[in-house]
Amino acid sequence: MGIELNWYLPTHGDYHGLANNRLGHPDALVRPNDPDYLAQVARAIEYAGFHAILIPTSTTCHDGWVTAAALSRKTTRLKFLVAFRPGFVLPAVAAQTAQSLQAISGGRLLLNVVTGGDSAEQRAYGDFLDHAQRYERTAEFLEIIGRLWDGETFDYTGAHYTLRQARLRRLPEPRPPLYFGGASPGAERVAARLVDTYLLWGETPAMVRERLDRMNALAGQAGRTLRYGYRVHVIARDTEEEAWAEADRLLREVPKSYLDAAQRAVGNKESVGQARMASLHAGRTINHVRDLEVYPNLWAGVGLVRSGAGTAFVGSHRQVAERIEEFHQLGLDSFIFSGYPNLEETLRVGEEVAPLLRHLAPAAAAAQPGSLAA
Amino acid sequence: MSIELNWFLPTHGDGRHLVDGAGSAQAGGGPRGQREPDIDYLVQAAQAAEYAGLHAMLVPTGAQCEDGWLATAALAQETRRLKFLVAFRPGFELPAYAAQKAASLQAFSGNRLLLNVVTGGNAAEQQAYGDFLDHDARYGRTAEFLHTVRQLWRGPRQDHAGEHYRVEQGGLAAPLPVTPPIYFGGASAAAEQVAARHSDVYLLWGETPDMLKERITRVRGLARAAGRELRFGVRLHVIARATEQQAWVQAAKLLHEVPREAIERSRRHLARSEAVGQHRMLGLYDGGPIHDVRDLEVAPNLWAGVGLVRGGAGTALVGSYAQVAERIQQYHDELGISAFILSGYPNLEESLRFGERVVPLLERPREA
Repeated sequence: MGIELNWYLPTHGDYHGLANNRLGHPDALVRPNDPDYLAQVARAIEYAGFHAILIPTSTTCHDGWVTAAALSRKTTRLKFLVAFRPGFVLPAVAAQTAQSLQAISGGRLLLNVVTGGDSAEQRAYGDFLDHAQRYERTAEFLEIIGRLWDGETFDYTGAHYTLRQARLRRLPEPRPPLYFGGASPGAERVAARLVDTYLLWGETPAMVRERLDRMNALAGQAGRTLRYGYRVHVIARDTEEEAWAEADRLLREVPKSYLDAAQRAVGNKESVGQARMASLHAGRTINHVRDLEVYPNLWAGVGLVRSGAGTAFVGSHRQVAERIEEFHQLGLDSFIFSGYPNLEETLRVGEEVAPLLRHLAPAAAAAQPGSLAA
Repeated sequence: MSIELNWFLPTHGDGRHLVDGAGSAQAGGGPRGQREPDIDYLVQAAQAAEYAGLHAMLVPTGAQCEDGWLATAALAQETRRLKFLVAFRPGFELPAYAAQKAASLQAFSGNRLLLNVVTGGNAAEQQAYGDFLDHDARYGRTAEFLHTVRQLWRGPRQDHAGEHYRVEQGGLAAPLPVTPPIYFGGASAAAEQVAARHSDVYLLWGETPDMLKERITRVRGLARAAGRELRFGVRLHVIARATEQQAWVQAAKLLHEVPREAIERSRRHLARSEAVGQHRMLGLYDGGPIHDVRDLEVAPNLWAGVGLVRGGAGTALVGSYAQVAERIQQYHDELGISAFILSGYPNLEESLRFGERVVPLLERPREA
């Protein structure tokens, strides 16, 4: 299994900085999430040779399914890693929707199951379950979807879902691989049983190793083998100095008042993964940009400002390539990158970093849009 | 009031026959002229409807259909002006999720979204999806759903607490610039009440003018009692040809391909529906022997043959181009119906024929 390179699609808008959408002054360049710009980014990601785009889910993003269906007409080969939340739609509907997206895109759908770590955001969507209940529901949801995709006709009675004579008229071709994020013990148990690729935010090698060991054991108990993925930002430049200067710029542009507010907001989340991200910079005195370098070329500066994946690979093109290879050796096969802004940075990484990788997976064969056999 | 002409997008497949496989009545299509609903064909069908000058495409919902939101997202990239009337079932997703999807579709289509709310008339199909509410409770939920979606479209910091849904500090990040009109189908008393208060366009299957008049009068009254004015729309198939005789020959051909046992099987199946509208369709034909295709002509140029083997809209306007245009004009002028959702066998060719031959004969300016 080689290295699979993916990129992030900024469906909430794209920025030249870490918090430009929040700075609110005219020099803070923001590219709105209009469809024409998103099509440009998707085509750049495809041109740069990436495997798939991660299409995120949140109240400020476009719907990921709709985005993928639309962009499938603007691209030919690129796959779509659609993030979605099981709690918002019935599983039999999602199973059929996935089949449709496979038909429409020519088999280019990957699914990223997001259970949700922020109760306030869940309640804004109308979901009032607590953290543990949400993962229980995710498990039922994935069981039902899996059986429908297997072509079963069945009755189901669970704590969250009841179905009678459920079946799918057309099966997805191919069956979409399931990616999954979630660092809590409840999340790990669901992932071990029911998903294909387990995603981690950009933690240090020691932290990654600890989780992969545990996940391998849990999956082994279920008679399964997982793939692993890693979500991290990238700041790669010709030289190490230029890369750190860029990281320094990103951090300097964020006002102190905003940093404090961002930390309070992140602290309110229930997400275990979020707490692990915060632990990377907690208590550090920051006099210099590299005070946040928590492992060689791994910078925790993004997490000071943004929730979710909070670290970036920072370094020369060669250093970043070396770091990707090193993390691949830990057992990570799938990488999901992003940059500021995403369009320019995906081209840079595709052209300057990817050619330096020794274990890159062969690019996917060109899909035939509209063909179920693709 | 102008006439809005829309066409049906066959996201479950298209063909030249009333039943799949030209008389074999098997599910799943077959080699005999059936067209799979692959995206390349759907693009052609949508482009044909746009070329024919039609206003919107009805994108249906059902276990056999491609997902309507996604088909629309893809087809919007391949068309410029055509609108999409996306049918969806409120009970299957949270209002906030649907509100966000609608907003995304508005962005990706340049505000070409119309919504068709389908509450669901078949308990077995609802239960297969995981929905166990009974018929009237489903309409209660639809009402709350529509109320909530409209509220969430207004922007952030919205709260809602109702019988079926709760939202805390939800809503779109910014108000939706163009809110999609709500088209609504449902013939029961419960449905009419919800339509009167929560919909913009009340849809009816193609019943006889007398039957339509009775319902339109009642629903218009209910809406006015709630201080609202509705538009009305009708869903019909069309078999239009250069001459009346050619049209009926085509109808007869469609009918003769259908085996008698397929008709009986279909009627038994449809009789179990909880949908009042379905029973009204079934009532157009008494189940007796059919000696001639025009035995099923239940009103001038209105043929109940489609409903023998298909659920849903079961009638077709059959006649010369001039007769079909005249009937549409009559439904508009005498009944107050302003939206027509038409289909044919197959849809691609028939939408072109309709646009080229029938539309120019209509008197009133069309909405484009």
